[in-house]
Amino acid sequence: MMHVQMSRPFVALALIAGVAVSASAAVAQTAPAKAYAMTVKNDDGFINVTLKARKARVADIASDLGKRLRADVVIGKDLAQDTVTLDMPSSPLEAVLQSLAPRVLVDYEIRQDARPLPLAIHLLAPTDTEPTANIVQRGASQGVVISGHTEETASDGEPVTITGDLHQLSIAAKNQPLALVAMMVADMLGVTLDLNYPAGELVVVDVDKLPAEDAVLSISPNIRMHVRADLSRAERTPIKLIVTRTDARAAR
Amino acid sequence: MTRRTTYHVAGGSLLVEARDAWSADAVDALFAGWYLTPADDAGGVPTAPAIVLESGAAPGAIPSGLQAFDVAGGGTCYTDGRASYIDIAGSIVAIGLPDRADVEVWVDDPLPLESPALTRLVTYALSAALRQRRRFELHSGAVIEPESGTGVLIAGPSGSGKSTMAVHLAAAGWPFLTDDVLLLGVEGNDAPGTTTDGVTAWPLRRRFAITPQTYAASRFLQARAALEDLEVQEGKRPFTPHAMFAGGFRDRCRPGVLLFPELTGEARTAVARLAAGEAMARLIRMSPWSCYDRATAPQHLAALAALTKQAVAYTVRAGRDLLEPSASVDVVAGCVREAGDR
Repeated sequence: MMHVQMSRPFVALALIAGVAVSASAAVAQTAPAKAYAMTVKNDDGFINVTLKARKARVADIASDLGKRLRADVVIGKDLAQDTVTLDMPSSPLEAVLQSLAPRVLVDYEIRQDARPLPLAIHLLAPTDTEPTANIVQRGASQGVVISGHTEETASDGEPVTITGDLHQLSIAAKNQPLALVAMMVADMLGVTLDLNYPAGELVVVDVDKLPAEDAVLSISPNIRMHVRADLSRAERTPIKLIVTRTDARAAR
Repeated sequence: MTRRTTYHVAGGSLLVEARDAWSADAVDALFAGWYLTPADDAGGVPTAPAIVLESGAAPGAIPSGLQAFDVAGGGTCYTDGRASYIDIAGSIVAIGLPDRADVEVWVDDPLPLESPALTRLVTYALSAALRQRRRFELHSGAVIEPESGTGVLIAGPSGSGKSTMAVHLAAAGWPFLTDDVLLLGVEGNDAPGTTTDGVTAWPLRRRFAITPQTYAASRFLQARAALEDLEVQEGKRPFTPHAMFAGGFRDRCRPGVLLFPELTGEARTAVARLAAGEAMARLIRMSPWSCYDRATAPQHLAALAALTKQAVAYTVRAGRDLLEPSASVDVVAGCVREAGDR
């Protein structure tokens, strides 16, 4: 159980929170709960949270936060009954999350030219089991064509080659269909691939030893990546690739 | 009544369960048009049905919140990436539902057996069941160059000239598979029918079909009395090719050339080599299930990519000269020779 010392009387804090809401952008709202006050502000993808709580149930705060972020917030069973007392001035979302739970996992969607979008937040006790992230075994997609394409002669166009690892990924493809390149990258990274349309457009990719997230996003504006960030351990793991038209949130 | 029948197709087997008399008639009527052969013996055949067809059954409710997209010919597919529902005029093809057959077809009211909607329902069901067995449908005709034995696939949408080319090559004595739809499989899929390393193609539709325009433009076709009085169905004249062409039927081939025809109406045909990437892109656009069916998409894309590695691809801007069998042979044999020299 986590306790952060309250710095001011709770009644005053609630009033302060109310003022903050009225002065903030449209995103900010007053939390209805009695044991805490929270504002959430999204400035062009930068999410800041102000939270003041006194013996508030983490589950209540998490539920409220999930609604405001439109994200799934999941509490580990060993943390479900915990309460928290804290006073966090406007802080990045991740910092606030880490004040709520000993272990925090955030699943983000990342794409070109946009801030990471939190899709799911897992607040866990040290004894809670990490939820599955839908990661497949590397090579499980049976990308049996990879060797074939890497052996193509120059007269057929440059080969598609994908080498490296999460830290240094290299991708080279010359005029190859996006669906194929995405499938091969997903296979290399051992993640699932969702193709939301017949992605036959040809892409040219030439990136050398970039972090996997940067390398993947360079393939096309139509590719997105879901990653799981373990805030406690400063680790990020790819979960899924999604190929979708940028001009449509939901595929036809 | 419930009738279970095992069919051999493309080197594998499918167990199909018809749960009422109308469903059994529908299966018989539609499967007769495809290369699906009822098995004579029960040895080694599957015991779980791949396809269940049932009429008069109220389709289960399609869950809300699923991704939706239109399917060819009319209808909507709803999917969460695991289970899919194809809704065609209130009848449903359900794919990948837990504790169900691989594919189930629920027809609200029994449709006429010649109904295009019924054909689409069963076609989607069959295609889904075959994808789960690593057989991937391609809108393509196929013939075999007789000297080298090279399989020539002629891929494209309706009206692109697939049948025109296939008919005239078959008329020139080239063995044929189909003029319209075939199945692809890759070695390593445990398919006893796979002939050689790499990709194998099997025919799916039995009959050929030509448009009245092609018939009217082709002196060769007009000289065939058997074609003269054919009834036009859905804009085409379907006919059974097996007795018509001396080169004969083949039940599989190893593709070495992949043609993407386009009818131009010009006098002469022009051929251009396609890079493998461009060929793959065209195949993906022609095969939307290679992306939409997430359960089989990796294997489906892999099969298409293996095809573009194995076969040399060409665009064929098909002119009127291809209406003569000898000209068709000259054009396509040239592609086969060049591919062989690669």
